[in-house]
Amino acid sequence: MQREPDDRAGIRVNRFDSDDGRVGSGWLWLDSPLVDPSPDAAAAAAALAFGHLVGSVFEPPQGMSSQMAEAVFGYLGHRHLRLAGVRNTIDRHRGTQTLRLHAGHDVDHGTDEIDGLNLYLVSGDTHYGQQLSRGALAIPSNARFFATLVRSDHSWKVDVAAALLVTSRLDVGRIRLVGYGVTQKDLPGASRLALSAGVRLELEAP
Amino acid sequence: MNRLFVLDLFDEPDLERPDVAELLDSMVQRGFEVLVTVPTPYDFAAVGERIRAVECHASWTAGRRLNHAVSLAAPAASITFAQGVLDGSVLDLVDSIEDAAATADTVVLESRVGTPAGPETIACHEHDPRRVFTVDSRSYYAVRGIDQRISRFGECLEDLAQRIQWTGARRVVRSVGDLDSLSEWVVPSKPQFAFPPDRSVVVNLPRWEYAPERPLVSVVIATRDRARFLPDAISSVLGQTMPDLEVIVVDDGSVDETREVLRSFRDPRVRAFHMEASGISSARNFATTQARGEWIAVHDDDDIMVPDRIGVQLRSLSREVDAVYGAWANFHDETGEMLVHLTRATFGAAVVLHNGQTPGHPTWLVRRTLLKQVPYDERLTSAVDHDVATRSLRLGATWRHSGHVATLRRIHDDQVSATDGSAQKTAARIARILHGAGLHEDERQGLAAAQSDYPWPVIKQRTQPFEDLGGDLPDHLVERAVIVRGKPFNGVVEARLQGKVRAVANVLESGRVAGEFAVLGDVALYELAELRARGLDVVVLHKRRLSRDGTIVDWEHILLNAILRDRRPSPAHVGVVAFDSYDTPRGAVVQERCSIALRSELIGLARVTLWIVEQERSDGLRAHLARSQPQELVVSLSGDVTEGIR
Repeated sequence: MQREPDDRAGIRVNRFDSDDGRVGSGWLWLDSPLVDPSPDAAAAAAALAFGHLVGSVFEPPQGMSSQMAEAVFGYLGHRHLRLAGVRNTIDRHRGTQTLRLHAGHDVDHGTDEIDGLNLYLVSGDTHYGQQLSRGALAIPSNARFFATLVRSDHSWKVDVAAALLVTSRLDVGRIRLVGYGVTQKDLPGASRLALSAGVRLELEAP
Repeated sequence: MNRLFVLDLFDEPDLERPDVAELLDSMVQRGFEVLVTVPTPYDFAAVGERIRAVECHASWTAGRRLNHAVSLAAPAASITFAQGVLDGSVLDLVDSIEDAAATADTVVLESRVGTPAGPETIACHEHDPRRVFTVDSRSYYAVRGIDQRISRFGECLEDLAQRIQWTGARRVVRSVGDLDSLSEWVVPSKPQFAFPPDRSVVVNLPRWEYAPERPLVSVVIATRDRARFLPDAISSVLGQTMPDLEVIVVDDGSVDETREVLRSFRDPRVRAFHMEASGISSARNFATTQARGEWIAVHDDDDIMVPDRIGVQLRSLSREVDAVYGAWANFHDETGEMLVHLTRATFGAAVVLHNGQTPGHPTWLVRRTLLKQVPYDERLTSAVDHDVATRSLRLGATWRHSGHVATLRRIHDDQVSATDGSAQKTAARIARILHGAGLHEDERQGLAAAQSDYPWPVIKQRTQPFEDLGGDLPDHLVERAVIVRGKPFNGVVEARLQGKVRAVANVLESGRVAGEFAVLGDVALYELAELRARGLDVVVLHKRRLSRDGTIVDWEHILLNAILRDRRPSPAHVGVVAFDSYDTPRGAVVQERCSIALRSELIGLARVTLWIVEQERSDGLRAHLARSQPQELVVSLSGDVTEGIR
């Protein structure tokens, strides 16, 4: 985990191994003081965001529970993967709020019916500082940019990773994807990871 | 649909083996093209052939849908894989083998570009069937394939793997089933190079013979009503020493002769697009959508690209770099006065906070994907580059200085920075404000002050910009002579420049042709580009056209300087004789210290053969000269080559 003086915070790769893929920016960030994930949420986010770069060793920033390690192995799973930082603890806390994660950039602050928090990840190159209203939470992030560096078909997973970084402070127990072009059959891997971090991942019907 | 199967046999040709023959027949009957490569195991010279074979098969599949390509070692392994190829995708096959048994390892590279099991997968192998690399073809092309400088057997793919990892691919080791291994080759941990290794991601520069429809670099020019400058701008790109590029020119609603100028360029690498006047940002964003190169080089319609710019910038790419920039030299369009401008060697937030400065736009070489993600803001009319640079920096893009002058920037009355300077200053101010958002004032000041720790690049052309860079200034500012070395004449004729030849010489040593030279006079910028585009070894001599000293006339002096610089006669050489086209000695000198004797007027028109004479033949030479009685003129050539210009 890394926090900059200007309040941007997120996950930065601090060491590449010889089998890892490398990208220009090994840093996924959100411009928000709400970034304060539990160890397992950080591990799930790291696996979703950086998993496709991991060649042999995966060590999340704050360690992870054995339950999360099992989920990570299942998600990244290849025979020679080594997991580091596994702790014999389980984070049993589950949030109560629903976070509606929107694919679109157009923030709608005027939502009539408020069913959970609406989170918009807005582009960090043109927005500075989070914007919070009764209707929505808009957080600048480099998630979309980062996703293209890592893998072109990967952006929704990086968005979920970014959302997981704020779930602890917002007491989120459920992330509902809104407007993403993904189907139920795309979800299982990411869903298991999120669930191991105490967050249920689901799709909102169009 | 192209169905290609590469059977790459490691050992003695086994094509007569019944199972192999049956396999090949089966592949052909099912519509595969079959390429068989049979190198000799311990013949290092054969490695190059193997590399070419792999790249050949890559080129066959370029731009077409590649169904399957697999390259294998042992016959038994070949059969196993071939059956898998017939049944499904290569990667599926690897997976199924993994499930079957676990006696060997396969190395699979999964790329971030495209899907690893997708239709454009290239599988290569080391000479050990346990090591099979699967890469997607786009990554393969992006790093320009296997480094052809590597001469040691069994190492080229390790190097390829490392370079592809730098583009974002990871290396995953998977177990493979009961493939028999014919090879006991031990793959070294580090590649061995015939040439000193470098850390470049892209290799095989300047020219890669394969997949020419996928240029490595797209040079992008947006233009409006600059027909008078555009020929110089485009010519300077076509004359790049790294020709693996395309030039995309977007005409943003010109009403002058831009369309005719663009039509005059016959080089297929030039792609012109015309659109309604929509603004610089819109034109550049459109160009990005049309670009096919992995990298986009930004160029302005009134600037001139330094001839080795693209090559130098590509070589300065290394891991974790998303964009490269350079210095630039301003030149005044009327006086030719030049001044090199630098930005810090590192582009970071501290520099932006200090003065809002960003890398010079016409020096950028950036990933195409970066400009797709951070497009030019079409609401802006000025400082659009400044906006893109600071936004990309905030998102996490890494910029690096190439350490050289990339562009000659024309200073004239109509340029944007002359007419829109206040908007650019405003943009810099806004960038400083935005980058300081969220920072306390003392933090902001501390960070801005840190920019003084950033180093300045060392630019060798900085002290003498005209001497080092002036040869590529526009024709109205300089007159230039060009020395072409190597085997110049065919190239000169192909460029239809034989009329500009002022002197030609063959240099013979011990009766063998040791070098050929030609001097061309009064060469225009577009003609210079023609010569460079043909890969000729070119040295440019130039002087200010406005100088009171007159014109370059001393062609023979220039020629001889070039020859002596190139050949560097040793002390054992005692003389040089010039023969004309009829083998008649026309000038000579025989001295203990080598110098040259020629009657300058004699070689102005004739084709001349120069003999550099060795010590032991000097007596014969003296006798020969005594009989021939050539007219003699001793010319000292100890000084700088520019002495020849008066």
